Amino acid sequence: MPQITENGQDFDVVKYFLQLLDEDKDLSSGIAAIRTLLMILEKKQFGTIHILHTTMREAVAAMRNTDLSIAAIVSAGELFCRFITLSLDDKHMEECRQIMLNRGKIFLTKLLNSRQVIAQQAQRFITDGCRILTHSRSRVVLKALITASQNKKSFHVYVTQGGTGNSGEEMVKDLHAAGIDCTLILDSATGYVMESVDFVLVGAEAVVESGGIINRIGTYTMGLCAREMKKPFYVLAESFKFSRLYPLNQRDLPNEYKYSRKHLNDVSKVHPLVDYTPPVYITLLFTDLGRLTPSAVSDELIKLYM
Amino acid sequence: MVLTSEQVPQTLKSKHKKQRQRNRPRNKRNRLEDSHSTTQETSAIDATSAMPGNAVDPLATEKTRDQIMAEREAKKLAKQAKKQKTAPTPTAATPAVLTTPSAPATKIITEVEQTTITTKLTTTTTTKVQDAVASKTTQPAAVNGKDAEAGEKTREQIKAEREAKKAAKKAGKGGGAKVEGIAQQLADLKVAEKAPVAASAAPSTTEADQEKKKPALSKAERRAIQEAQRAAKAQVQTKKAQHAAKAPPSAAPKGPNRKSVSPTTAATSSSPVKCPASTPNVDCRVKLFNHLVCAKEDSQFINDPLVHPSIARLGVQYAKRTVVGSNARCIAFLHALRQVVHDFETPAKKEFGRSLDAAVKHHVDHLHKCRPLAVSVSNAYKQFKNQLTQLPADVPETESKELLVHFIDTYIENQIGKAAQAISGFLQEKITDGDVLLTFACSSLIQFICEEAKRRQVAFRVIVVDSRPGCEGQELLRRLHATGIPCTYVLINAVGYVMAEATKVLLGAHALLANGYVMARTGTAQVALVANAHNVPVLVCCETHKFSERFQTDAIVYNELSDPNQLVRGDKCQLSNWAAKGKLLPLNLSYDITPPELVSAVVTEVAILPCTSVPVILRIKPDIGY
Repeated sequence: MPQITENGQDFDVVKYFLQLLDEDKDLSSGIAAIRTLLMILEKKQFGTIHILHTTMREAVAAMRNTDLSIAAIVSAGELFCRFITLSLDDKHMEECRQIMLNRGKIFLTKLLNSRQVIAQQAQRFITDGCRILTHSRSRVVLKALITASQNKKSFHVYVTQGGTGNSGEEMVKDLHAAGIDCTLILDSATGYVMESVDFVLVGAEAVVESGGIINRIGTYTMGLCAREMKKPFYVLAESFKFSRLYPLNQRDLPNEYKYSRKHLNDVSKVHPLVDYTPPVYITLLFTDLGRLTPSAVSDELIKLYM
Repeated sequence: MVLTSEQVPQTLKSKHKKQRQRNRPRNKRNRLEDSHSTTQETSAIDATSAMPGNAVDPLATEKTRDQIMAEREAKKLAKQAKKQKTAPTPTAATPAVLTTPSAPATKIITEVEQTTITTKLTTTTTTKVQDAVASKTTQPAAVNGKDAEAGEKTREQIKAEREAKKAAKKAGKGGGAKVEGIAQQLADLKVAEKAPVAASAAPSTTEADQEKKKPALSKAERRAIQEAQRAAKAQVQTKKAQHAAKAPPSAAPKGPNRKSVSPTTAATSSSPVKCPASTPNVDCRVKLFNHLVCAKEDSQFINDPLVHPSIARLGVQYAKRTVVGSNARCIAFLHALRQVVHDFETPAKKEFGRSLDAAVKHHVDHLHKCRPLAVSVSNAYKQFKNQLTQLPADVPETESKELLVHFIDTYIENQIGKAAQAISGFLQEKITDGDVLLTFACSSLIQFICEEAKRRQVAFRVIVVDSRPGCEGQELLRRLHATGIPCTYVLINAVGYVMAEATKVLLGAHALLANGYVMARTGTAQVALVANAHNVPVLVCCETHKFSERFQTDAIVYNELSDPNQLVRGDKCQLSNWAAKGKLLPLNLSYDITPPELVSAVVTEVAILPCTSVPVILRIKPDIGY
C-alpha cells in the first residue's frame, strides 16, 4: 500500500503537471508548476510544516524530470513555498493549510496578471514605425507585441529561427495571426539585421542574481552584437523567474540547466539549450515589479529571500 | 540735691532766653510743666491714691493758660498778637512731656544697675565710676550758673505780672510740688536722685527741639538745604572713593596685558624652532597628497599612563606593521579591548557604562594616532559602543563585564569566523577541477578558501601575484605551499603574462564602499583591470563587517601613507639618501580603489552580490541580525 501510494503520488504529480500544459499551450511551465503545488496542498494532508516542505521538494524534483524548462520550475517552486509560508505563526495545522491555500491562490492570481502588467510596461518603448528584433519564441514578448498592435501601432518584427525546435516559426505564425508585420531570419543573420533594427526584445527562462538572464541559446550572441552596435537590449520576464543563482560565465552554469535529462550522461556530443547573458549587455528588464536595471535585480532578490 | 532740681529749669530758661526774649511767658509754662512732671513721678512712687492728684494738675495747667491769654488780651498790642500765634503749639508740647518721663525712667533704672555692677567689680571699675562722678560734678557746675540767671528772669516776670494774687497762688502751688519732690528724692536712694535729673533733661531736649522747629521754618529749610548739601558732598566723596577703587582694576588688566606680550615673545622664540620642523614635513609630502597623515618613523609614542598595556602594545604593533590585514587588526583590537574591559575599575561616584565608554574612546584615539583605524576596527568599535549603551543599568558591574566580553567573543566568532565559513561555502561551488585561481598579496580569507577547496579534493592551483615594497604575497605563498597546494609566484609586472592561464581571480578587500567601489591593497585595481581585459571573472571576498558607508571614487580623497623609506632597496639604489636631494619625494600609498565595473561579484556571508548591492546590505543588516 505505501509503495502504491507513493507511486500514485508521483504519477499523479507528473500527470497533472503535463495535463495542465497540454490543455493550455499558452501556459508557462512555472505557472503550471505552481498550480500543481497548489493542488497538492489541497488534496494532501500534512502533519507538520517540515513534511509540507519535504513533499513540495519531492514534487518539484519530479517535475524537473520532464523535458521542460528547469529554471522556471525551480524558481517558481521556491518562490511559491516562500510566499505561502511567510505569515505562518503558532496556529493549528488545518488553519495553516487554509492560510497557505489562500495565499497560494493570491500568488497564482498575481502571476497570471503579471504578463499583462509587463505588456503595459513595454508599451512606452514600442513606438510607431519602430523595428524590433526578438529571439525565438517567448509568450511574454508575444503578449507585449499583440498589445501594441491592438493600440493601433504599426511596427515590424524580425524573429530568429531559434535553432532546434524551430520555435521562431511558431512565433511568426502567431504574429501573422495578430496582424503584425514580421520577418523570419536565420540565427546567423543576427549581425546583418542588427544595424537595421531599433532595439532588441527578448524573454527569459530565468533571471539570475547578478542581473543577467538565462534564455534560449543564441541570446548571448544577440546581446554581444547589440552592445557592439549600440542597440538597446530589453528583457521581459515575470518575477517568479528570479533565481538564486550567480553564474560567472557559461561554464559556471549547471549542466541540468543547459542539457535535457536524457543527454546529461554525455554532454560532449550535444549542444546546449540555453546560454547565460551577463548583465553588462542588458539595458533594462521589464518585470511585474517594475522596470529594473540589472543591478536592481539583486536588490529585489534580497528583499524576496531575506 | 535741691540745687540740682532747681538748676534744671534754669538751664531750660536760659536756652529759651538765648533763642528769643519774647519767650518769657513760655518759660513760666515750662516751670508749671516741670512741676507737673515731678508730681507725676511722686504719684507713681506713692501709690494709686495719687492718681486723682494728676487729674487735678491738668486743670491747673488749663487755668494758667487762661490767665496767660487774659494777660495777652489785656495788652492788646501787636506783640501780643504774635504771642497768640505761638500759643497753640504749647498744647502739643504737653503730651510729649507726659510721654517722655516713662522712657527715661526705665533708662535710669538700667544705668543704676550698671553702676552698682561696676562698683562691685575691681578697683579699676571704681576708678571708672569716679570718672563718671567727676563728669557729673562738672555738669552741675554749669547748671548752677544757668540757675542764677533763670532766678533773675523769673523775678522780673513776676514783677511784670499785674495780677499779684494769681501769680502768688500759682507760685505757691509750684513751690509745694517742688518741695514734695525734693523730700521724696532725699528719702529715696541714688536711683531717685538720678531719675528726676534724666526725666527733667529729656523733656527739656524735646521742648527745645519743638520750639526750634516751630518758629524757625526758615531754619528747618536751611537745615534741609544743609543736609542736602552734606549728602551731595558725601556722594562726591563716595564717587572719589569709587574712582580710587577703580584704580586697582585698571592696574589689574595691565598685568594680563604684559602677560599677553610675553606669549608673543614666546611665539616669536618658538617660530625658529618650528622652521626646522616644517622642512621635514615638506620633504616627505607630495603636493597632491598633502592632506594625508604622514607616518613619522622617528616619532616616539608618549607613554600615556591612562592607556592599558595591551592597547599600548597593540598600538606599537599597528605602527610597526607587525599586525597587518583588516581581519587581523580587527581581531587583535577586540582581544585587547576584551582585556581592557576585564581590567577596568569604575571610578568612585561614576557609572560603569559611561566611564568605560570614555576610557575606551581614549584608547581608540591612541590607536588612531599610532595608525589610522581600519574600517573593520571602526565598525567593531561602533558595535561595541552600541552594545555598551544598551547595557541594563541595574545589573552589577561584574555581570556587565561578562556581557561585554561575551559580546566581543560572539562578534569575533560570527562576523569573522562564521562569515569566512559561509563565504568559503559559496565559493566551493565555483571552484572546480582544473581551475587556476589568481590572487594578489595576502588575505586570510583567500587562504581559508583555498585550504577548504584542498580539503574537498579539488584539483586546482594558485597563482600568487605580489608587489613591492611589502611583498605580502610571500607569506600567502608560504602558507599555501605548507598545505600542499600547487602555487606559482609572480610579481605584479608579470600579471599580464599569467592572466591568460587564470580562470578566476580571487581578491581580498580592506573595505567595500557604499557606492560599490572596493578599497584594497595597492595593486588590486591593476590586477582587476588586467583580469577584466582578459574577460576573467573577478571575485572580491569581503565580510559584511568591512562594509563602509563612505563614498569614494578615487584613492586620493582618503588614503594612508606608509614609510617612504620602504621604497629604498639596498645601498646601491638611486633612492638611497633621498632626503638629501631637494627635489625627490617618494610616495608610498597603502590602498587603491577598484571600480565596480571591474568586479564580477562580491562574495559575502549573506550572498553572492553585485558590487552595487552594498547599500541594500547596509540597510537591512540590522534587521536580519548579522
